[in-house]
Amino acid sequence: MIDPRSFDAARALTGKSIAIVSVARDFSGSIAAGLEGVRAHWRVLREFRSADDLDPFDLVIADAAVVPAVASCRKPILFLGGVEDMAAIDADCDHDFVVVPPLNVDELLVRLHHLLTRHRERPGRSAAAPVVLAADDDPTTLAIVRAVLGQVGITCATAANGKQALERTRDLKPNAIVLDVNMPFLDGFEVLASLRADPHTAGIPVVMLTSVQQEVDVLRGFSLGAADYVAKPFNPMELLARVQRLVQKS
Amino acid sequence: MNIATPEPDDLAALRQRLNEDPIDLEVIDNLRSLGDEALIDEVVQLYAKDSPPRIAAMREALAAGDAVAVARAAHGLKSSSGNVGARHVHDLCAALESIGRGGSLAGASSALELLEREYARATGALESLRTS
Repeated sequence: MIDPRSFDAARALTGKSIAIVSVARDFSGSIAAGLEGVRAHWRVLREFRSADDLDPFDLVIADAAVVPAVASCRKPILFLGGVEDMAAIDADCDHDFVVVPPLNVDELLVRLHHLLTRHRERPGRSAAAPVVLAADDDPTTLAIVRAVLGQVGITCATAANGKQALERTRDLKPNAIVLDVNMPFLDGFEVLASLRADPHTAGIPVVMLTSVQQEVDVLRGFSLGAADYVAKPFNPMELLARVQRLVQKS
Repeated sequence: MNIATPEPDDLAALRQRLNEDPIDLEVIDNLRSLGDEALIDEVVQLYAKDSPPRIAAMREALAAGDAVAVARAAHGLKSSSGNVGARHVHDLCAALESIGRGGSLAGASSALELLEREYARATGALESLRTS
């Protein structure tokens, strides 16, 4: 996994104050150690009275079980929980999530960094029936993405290479794009850069699908404006939760 | 097997695990949880159709001594193998991709031989799951 100390996560998180809310002790100890590694300040809140208690903090890490209580918090929140918990999160709050168990502290630090630094994206389209474009040269991935998105009524268009992905994006103006990195003709980074350079597509949120052996791709994707990422091999339900989060915001 | 070159350590470790079930049933359960048995049929059939050209590409690239092409073909098969839970094929693809990215093809012949064997086991097991 990514070593967050090897890029600018350490600089972005250094000195930040982070509340750890209602997180199991097994996890909070590891999280605290990770935050100390990037010299962030942290405080464990086993109980809290209202979301106002979180105002003094720059970021919040919370168990997904306390979603209703913390969702009105004005600070970015990173939830920890099962994939099934994520669908319950109010899309209006500025959040991301890490699927546990197991806890991957490096992933957590990367996502905290992204919460702090990412650009907020709001696509101009608000269609009643969301459309998501999935671009991948692997037909099994496309079949799985289409099936899982179809479960919640999201129409999934597909593209088998980077060139087709650009063409279909310009034609369809999808609410979100699931983008593989390694594709023929144009790779995912080239597609993402082209999308961001075009005012008509610049605001479409993109979820990068990346191999777990190419974590550096995650950082490159974020720097090019990706909204999120999912590592391959991927859990379809996690991908669904991440795409839904973006589609609901659009 | 190519005995002229030593195997990378990770490949030797991987060889030890090959007697385990070729399919990660949790991945199949995840597909089933999407509520559509036809999806497993579709994905398994796509995998069976899409993989042989990728394996052939690896074999050709290896014969040509083209490490970059070996890595590229291995990467493609790795992704689809992960999707169907063909864990040993996935891991062997990862090993071949790593070998190819390293620029040297030491151990690649041995890894490809294992991969072809594991691919046959995986597709057999997938076919059984599909028809069960």
